Amino acid sequence: MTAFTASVCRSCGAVAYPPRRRCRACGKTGSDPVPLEGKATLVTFTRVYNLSLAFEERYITVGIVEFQSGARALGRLAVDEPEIGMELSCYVAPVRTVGYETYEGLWFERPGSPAA
Amino acid sequence: MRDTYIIGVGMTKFGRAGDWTLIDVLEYAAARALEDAGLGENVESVFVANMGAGILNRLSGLGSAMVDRLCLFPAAAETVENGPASGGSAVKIGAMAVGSGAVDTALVVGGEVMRAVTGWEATDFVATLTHPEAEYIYGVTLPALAGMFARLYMDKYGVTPEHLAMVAIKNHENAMKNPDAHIQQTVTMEGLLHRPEAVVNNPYVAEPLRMFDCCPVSDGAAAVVLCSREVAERSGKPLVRIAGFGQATDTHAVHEREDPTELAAVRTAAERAFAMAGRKPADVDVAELHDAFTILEIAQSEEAGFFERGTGHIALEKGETRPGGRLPINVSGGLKARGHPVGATGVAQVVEIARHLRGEAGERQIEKPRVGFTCNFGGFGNNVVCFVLEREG
Repeated sequence: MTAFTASVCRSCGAVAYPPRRRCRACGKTGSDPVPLEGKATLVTFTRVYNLSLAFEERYITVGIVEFQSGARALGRLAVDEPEIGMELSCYVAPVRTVGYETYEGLWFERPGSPAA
Repeated sequence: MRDTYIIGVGMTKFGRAGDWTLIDVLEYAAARALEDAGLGENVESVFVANMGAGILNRLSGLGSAMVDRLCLFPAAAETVENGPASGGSAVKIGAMAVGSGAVDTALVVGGEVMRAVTGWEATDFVATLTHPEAEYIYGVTLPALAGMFARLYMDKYGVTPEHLAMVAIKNHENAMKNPDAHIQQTVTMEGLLHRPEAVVNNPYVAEPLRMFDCCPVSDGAAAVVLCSREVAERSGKPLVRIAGFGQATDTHAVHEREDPTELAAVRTAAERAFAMAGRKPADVDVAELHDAFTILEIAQSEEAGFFERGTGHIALEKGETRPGGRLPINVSGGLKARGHPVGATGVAQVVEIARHLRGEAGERQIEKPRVGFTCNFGGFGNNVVCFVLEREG
């Protein structure tokens, strides 16, 4: 289980995910990787019913979270009744299989849940 | 830059292309626009707007194919791809070509044949424009991004599912008077939300958005012929001018936007179009907005400057955006009911406004409009093209 990586701008310290070489805030080039980890807060979410054939579920729940570092990310929610503003912890697990390729992605769960 | 005029418009009926290929629908719309323009000679430049021919129809080189099909040799030709804003981009590039003086005439035709694949494949195809690593792999679709946007927007401004349904009801009603519309069926508040069978007939697609909050998957094409003032005057056609255009971009991944209830690219693109035209939102008599999802008509009506932020749904509720209201929006039926063949949409919006400005919109004609506006929304708002069109004389 590898953590996903965000970037921190060497010039102004702005955090970006997905990582950026050229900073959106100050326009300078050059950044260092930082792991996308720790507690996160749920910004918004939706249950999606109209899914591609890559998914066998009747619906999936996806949401946008904000980490304490300020980085935001989208991921799958392993939460039954999500609420905006709730605290979540992050882990990495498969999210989609296309052909023989399985992609790993960010998952979010209530802190203290077994998967996290 | 010199002025650009629209002297020809044409489109197919939106819906199902059936036996017609993508090239067939493009040809039909283009031929109607060229016939309408009545030019004595061939156009000098051709711009074809399309998003998915490579994925959906296994086709490329549409610009060249169009010149060949219509025998427009030796016109210059390109294909323009900018996601669901491909149509707006192609009209903008056409206006730049004429405006720069590089050419005197240009044909812009946009089209898509999406029903060549199944519904979920079409949804998945549109989803390929989302961020590949940060969005697409999660199974995120455009309805999913719209659902997350709608949840926050509705909470913040007190927009209810009934308000969303009002957009659908209005636009379906408008489409009844548009023979080119994909869906010609009225819907009611009761049927969409309140009857017990509503959960079956109008299920959730991406909460809080239901099926009737989403545009259909459509085939179709739309075209305009653009020209210099000199050519336009010679044509004897009503003078419809591209008074202003504006385009703006935003982050690829939606989560990176500081305020996820803002559509910054819509605001900037609209401001740029109004500045170029020397007009303000209050001057607009008729508008076509990109209601791929009902929530977007409300949000765009505010970002474009027609209503204060957070009050678009109140204007809607009061009937201000219906035909006969203060600012009729999506008289064509919008993407919601006219349909949304992605590459065609931006061109179709311009066709609709040009028809109103010329007084040729048939049963749905808005009374004597002088200024019209369009907003073509690419990605989930990461690339937006707006136009201000004006009737002269």
